[in-house]
Amino acid sequence: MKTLKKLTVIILILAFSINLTACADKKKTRYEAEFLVLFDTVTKIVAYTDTKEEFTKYSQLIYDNLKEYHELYDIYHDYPGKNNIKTINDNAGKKPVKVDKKIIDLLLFSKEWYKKTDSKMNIAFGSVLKIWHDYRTAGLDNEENAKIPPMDILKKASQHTNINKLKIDEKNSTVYLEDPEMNLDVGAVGKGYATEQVSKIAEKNGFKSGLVSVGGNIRSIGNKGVDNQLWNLGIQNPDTESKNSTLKLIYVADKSVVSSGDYERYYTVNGKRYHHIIDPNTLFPSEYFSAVTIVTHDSGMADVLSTAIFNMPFEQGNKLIESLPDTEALWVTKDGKIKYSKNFDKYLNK
Amino acid sequence: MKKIISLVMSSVLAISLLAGCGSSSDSSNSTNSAPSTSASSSTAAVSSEANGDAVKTGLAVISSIANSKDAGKEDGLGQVDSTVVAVTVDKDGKIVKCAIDAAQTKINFSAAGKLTTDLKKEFKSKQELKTAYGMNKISKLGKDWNEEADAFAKYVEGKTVAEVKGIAVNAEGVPSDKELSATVTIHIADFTAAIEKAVNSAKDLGAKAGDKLGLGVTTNISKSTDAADKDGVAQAYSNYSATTFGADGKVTSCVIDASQSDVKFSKAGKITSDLKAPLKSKIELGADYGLGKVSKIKKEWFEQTEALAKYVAGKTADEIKGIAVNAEGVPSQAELTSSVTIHIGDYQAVIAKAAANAK
Repeated sequence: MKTLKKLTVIILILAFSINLTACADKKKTRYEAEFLVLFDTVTKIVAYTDTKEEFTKYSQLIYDNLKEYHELYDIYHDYPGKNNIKTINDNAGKKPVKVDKKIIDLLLFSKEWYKKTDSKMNIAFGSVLKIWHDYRTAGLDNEENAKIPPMDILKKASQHTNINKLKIDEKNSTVYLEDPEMNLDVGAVGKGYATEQVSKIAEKNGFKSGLVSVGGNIRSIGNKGVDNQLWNLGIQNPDTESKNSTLKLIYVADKSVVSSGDYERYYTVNGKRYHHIIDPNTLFPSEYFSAVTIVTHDSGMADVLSTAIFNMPFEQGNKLIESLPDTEALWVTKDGKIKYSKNFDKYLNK
Repeated sequence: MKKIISLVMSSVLAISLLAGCGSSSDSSNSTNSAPSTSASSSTAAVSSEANGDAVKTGLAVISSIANSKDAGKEDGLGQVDSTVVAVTVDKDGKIVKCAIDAAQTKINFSAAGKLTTDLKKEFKSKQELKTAYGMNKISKLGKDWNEEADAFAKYVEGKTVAEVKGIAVNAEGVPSDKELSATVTIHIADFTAAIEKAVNSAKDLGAKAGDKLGLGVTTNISKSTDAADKDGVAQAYSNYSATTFGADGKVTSCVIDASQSDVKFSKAGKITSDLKAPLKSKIELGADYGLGKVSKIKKEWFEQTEALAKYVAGKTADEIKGIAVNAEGVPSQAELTSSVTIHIGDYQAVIAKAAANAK
């Protein structure tokens, strides 16, 4: 009987202490930080913390580090005293440019994924993307005269997209574009890669659970930090006319979720939509899907893959996803059907 | 024995779960002083009791290229004059606050149809130029354009459009009303027309009578092109924002518009645009598609500006420029949504300017 009493006391103490921990979690407040100025989009940070100060400290840390990446990976603006990707482009065919290691790392990562994605994600594709960008902005500004780029101009530009002419000298930390007509465009990888690096910095500094979304590319750090709950994240419905703006809810911890689609950035010529993701084979907006979403740990990898599988038939994309550990994908076909990779369903349940 | 233990266990758990945490609403935002920035934020419909002091926010632009000139011995000139007005209007149609600015953009081209103005040049509005605009040298009163525009804006506050239009105007188009002639000697016809347009376009977006009103203008000419097989284009691309701020410094309403005004010229440096043709802003062009339905093609511009207007609602000027931290309750459906990146474009600059000018 004594043993029983002892046991009961132990159980009691245990039960209460478990509950006390749970209650401490319950007292955490959800904070959200937003800022506009980086990567030309809205960045959001979400976390459940005990105090606003704690949350603000991590937000500032993430902001400061993202700003550094934003300036280095910019292809449109110069920053005094800084060599960035625009500087590399401006010196194409002229001379190697000494750059920060953060740029070298991104370019090496991109080269590696160029191979892994069967050249469907090519950062040396800038000369073609620039033409589409110019025609799209002109078409949005003046719709009566909206035009699609002539194929001969696109083909000419595609002669200058050879990634092997991107010369990276790690020892001297320089980058040189051998072809004066080539242009780097890191739009399909820069944001994701930067988000990943910045999330790692935040983790090293004690940020154990949170979300970082740079323009809809989400990286989750840990779980919610409340009762061990997973993060519940939405996937945008590519049918923007639909009442349900969220296509699916998924539940994740320590994962990145990145989507690519034809539904946000496009222009219309003679009633046909032309979106912003260009298929390197056809040199025209790719026509396989309305949207794709990648779920994997590394945000840079998720960013790359979302563009790559958007530019591939389902079978090829699915094969690529299956070859990668702990990586899943969701495809939305042009007629609104959803296809999943083999183990995607594990994210659909709490 | 096992039974007893499990009984004790389950009763302890039940009691502690019931009593241990108290109400789960502790976790919600008792510290929440900041409004949510979701769609149901401060731009939502004003509650009926506060309706008495709700005001509408309006923004209007009137542009003209009439002062442009062909190239001859001297370079040609594509000149775009845009008068910009922001207002708040009460339920009786009286103007509560008014801000007036103008963008005068001069783009030169040679007799060979080549642009001679630096396309990277940033153009300042007349309010930003202040004394640099140099009107005080020629004005009889020794006042600058911005002082005169501000005086007129002050003068129309508390008046309806009909009253503003009822001002006696002499043949020169300069007000002859005594109270005003001491301050305004510039032609007010454009001011009046833009004020009327701003009042007519004003919408209930969440502003209140006591709110500050700011007007921002940014202009660039980077899309201008030389004449070649096609005519050259001298283009003034301006963004405008009317933004109101509450007593706590947070945005209560925000309207963004833009205009692209073209002056076309031939390879011989001769102007080929009709200098009298009416020019429209993007919102006006969008409205042309009937029933306020925006054309598919313009959707991206509207989405960007609407997303930005929604974003700034409930934020202070510093938060718009830097980091806004809010304590939020339980997220609506998902913590965040993965989507294709929406680009913000150049519009944040014009909102920052509106914030800096708010009074």
